[in-house]
Amino acid sequence: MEQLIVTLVTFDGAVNWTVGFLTTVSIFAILALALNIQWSVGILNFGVAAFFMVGAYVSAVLTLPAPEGLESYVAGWGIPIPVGWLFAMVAGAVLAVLLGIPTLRLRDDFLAIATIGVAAILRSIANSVEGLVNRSRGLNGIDGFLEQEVSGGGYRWVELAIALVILCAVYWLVTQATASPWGRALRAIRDNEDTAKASGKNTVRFRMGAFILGSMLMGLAGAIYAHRSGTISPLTFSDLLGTFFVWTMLIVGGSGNHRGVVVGALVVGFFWFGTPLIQESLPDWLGSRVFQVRQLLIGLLIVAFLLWRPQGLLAERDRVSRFVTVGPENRSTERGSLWRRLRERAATQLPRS
Amino acid sequence: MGLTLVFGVLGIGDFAHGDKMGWGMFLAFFIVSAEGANLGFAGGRFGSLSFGWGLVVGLLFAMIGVALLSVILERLVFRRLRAAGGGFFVFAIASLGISIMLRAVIQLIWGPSNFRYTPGIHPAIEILGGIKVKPDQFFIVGITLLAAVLLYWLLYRTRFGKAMRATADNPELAEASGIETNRVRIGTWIVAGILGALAGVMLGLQAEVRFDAGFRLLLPLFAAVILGGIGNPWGALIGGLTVGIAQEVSTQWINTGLKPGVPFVIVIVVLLLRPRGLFGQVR
Amino acid sequence: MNERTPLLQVEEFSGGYVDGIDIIHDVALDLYQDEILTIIGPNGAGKSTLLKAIVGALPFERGRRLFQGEDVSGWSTPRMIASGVGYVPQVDNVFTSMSIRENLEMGGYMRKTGLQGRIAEVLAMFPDLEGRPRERASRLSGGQRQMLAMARALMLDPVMLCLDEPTAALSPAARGELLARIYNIHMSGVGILMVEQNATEALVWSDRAVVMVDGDKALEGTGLDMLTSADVGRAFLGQGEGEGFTIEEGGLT
Repeated sequence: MEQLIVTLVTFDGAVNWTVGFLTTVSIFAILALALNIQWSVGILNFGVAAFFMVGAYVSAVLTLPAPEGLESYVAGWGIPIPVGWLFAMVAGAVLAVLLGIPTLRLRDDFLAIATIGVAAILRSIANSVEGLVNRSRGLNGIDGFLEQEVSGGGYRWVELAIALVILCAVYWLVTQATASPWGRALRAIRDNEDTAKASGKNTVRFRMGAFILGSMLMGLAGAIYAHRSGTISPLTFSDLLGTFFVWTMLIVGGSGNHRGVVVGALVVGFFWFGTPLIQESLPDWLGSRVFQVRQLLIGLLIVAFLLWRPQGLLAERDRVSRFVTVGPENRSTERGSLWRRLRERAATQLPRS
Repeated sequence: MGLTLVFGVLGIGDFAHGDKMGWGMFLAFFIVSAEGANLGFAGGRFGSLSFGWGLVVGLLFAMIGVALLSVILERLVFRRLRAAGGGFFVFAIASLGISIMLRAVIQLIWGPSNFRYTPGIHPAIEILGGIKVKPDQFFIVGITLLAAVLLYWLLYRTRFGKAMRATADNPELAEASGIETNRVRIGTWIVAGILGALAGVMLGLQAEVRFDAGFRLLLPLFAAVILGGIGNPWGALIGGLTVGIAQEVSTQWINTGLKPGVPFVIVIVVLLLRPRGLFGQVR
Repeated sequence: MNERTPLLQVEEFSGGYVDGIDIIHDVALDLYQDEILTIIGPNGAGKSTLLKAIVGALPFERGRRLFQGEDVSGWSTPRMIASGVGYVPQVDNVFTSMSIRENLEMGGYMRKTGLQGRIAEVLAMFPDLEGRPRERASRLSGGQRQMLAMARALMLDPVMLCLDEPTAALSPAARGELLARIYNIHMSGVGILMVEQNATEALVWSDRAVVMVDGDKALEGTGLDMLTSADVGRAFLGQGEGEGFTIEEGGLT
């Protein structure tokens, strides 16, 4: 992210920073939307970084030319970048299936542990196995999509356009998916797994579907990131940036609600990537610690939102089918909409007959 | 290896909470404890020159500090989330948020403004000077066994320990039996905090004091607990031992860099074969 | 009847699980120590909710409850238990991971003295449980679990025992045995407040009964009245409105 520290003194600088910022945020918004799909069926993915990383690496090694000199990595077939993206999605899906089979049937918490674990193990593999992905040296010189065709400084606009177009496509996809009967079934599972089971839905299959879909999108986000930044290394995909950062976007924006997630990505992203901008103007004692303070505040944001605004900035609209009455016992209390609560409070004020 | 043992035991302290809630808080608790332990350890070193007493003081300081921190977090965050009806998910995410914060604070206080490396406050081993590392490890194993025995005694032989198990088993019924579950939860946090601090100090003694040392041990710890069966102190002890040995032995055949992956493989294999852990009892 | 202090008085009780949605509306009832009072009614009538609210396991919106003449409206469950109320929930009413003895120890958690003696006494009341204190509760049969649950609740010598559908999910034979045991406990000086769906059997043993429908008290009478009134089932349908006598004003101290 340090590459984003661009001076804003000039107008050009400000524009450049904004373009770069929006591109990055778009990529993270895709991650957050993907996470939202999984979260909405009660899958606790604490290894977003793993899927992000797999997508980035798969697309990178497939599209890079064969390794030279000290470089050593597999593949290097130089295939077209969009094909690399497709493979990144496939890789995300494969990882999801591998992880989902042993864990989805079991307690919720096992998947959370498994995903955290897979992120750690993938990083250590990337770091230590010679001849796979160039170890900690990372992969460099990854071409951007259409980079050869566009010359000069205009390419950053192309990058932004690519990220935005894909973000819009993903947004459209997840909106369609959640509005479909499939999406309604997903929400039913999240709100009450037992009831959903009782109404004859195969919850494991539904959850697996959501897990795979989300993981594919995370893989895609990873691929876009790789081609955008041109260089990736295991360090890029830390738990902090790759996983918790995305979770913060989700929690802040409003879990279960796509629009809120994008807003959350923008807000949290601005907070995170904007911090370096003010670093210079801060007093020394603070300026030198600004990154730790930022990390502290990210954690604080998560906890504060859970405590005081669990519905996020934009609350999830109450979209449970009208034909289902939500009883007081099986209502999900942790994510009730503000509106519903207000309505209920108003109801208590009415005189009783 | 010895430290993994400690961590195996440590996991149990919180699983006495049981249930999904216990899992969520376990994440926080583990990080809280190990991170806090570093904190306490440093504090202990500050006022001491000799190893023996410095470490003892540091250990006590760490235990009190971490227990206090756990209790404060319970009161400020977890109790309120529980009152709002938050489920396992909310606890898990909140505990992750807390873990991020705690790590940031440690870096702020002791670490340089570097995200990746913090030059550790040098481990106790250097204070030891000429003394070999071996006695240290004996010491760790001994303390671990002692902690396991004490924990077993607490959970199965004392009134409060049994109340902890009862609260883990069925909080509502515990209330209906006249057990003040909030008090039991606080007590559990304290025990867990003390064990966490112990584990953290042992870790610092064995390896080095790093701001992210606790976080790095998250996975081996989970592996140990799952292997041993949730809520079973002896199982966790054996699980911890198994994971520790497996990690060390595996380096004979595989790249040392892959060591962190070993517990993960163990977890997956165990989940596939015996979801309740090797020693888990069928309910 | 009005001269004595009732064990429990519930006045104008309204409340439910969620703000603004009342499951129970203005229910009043009282219980004396020499009575078995059974609350019957169809599924979802709010019987269990009422019982939980009485023992302080659920907050309630309005009304108050008095225990032995003292206002205990705001008391938590542990406090109610400590002052002499035993409570046996309908499900999950034993600690499955613990042994019989440990379950009883938990029941007697608040006892300062005489724990072991009381365990022996309570076990003597339930021959099924005697002689195997180390057996895990998860290995017991349904009837035995129910016995253990009651034994646990008796550990503190309560003066009042609240039972939530004690005979649900039991075989007819086990039901009969359990009700007889409840009667024995009652005869040792414990007021019994019980919620039941197997109404006929429970009514045989009850001194009084309250019928609840949709969160309202629809009917109240003696157990015998209820049994002999042409068809208790009809009362469930709401025809009994106004038929029963109410005693909200009675028994105030």
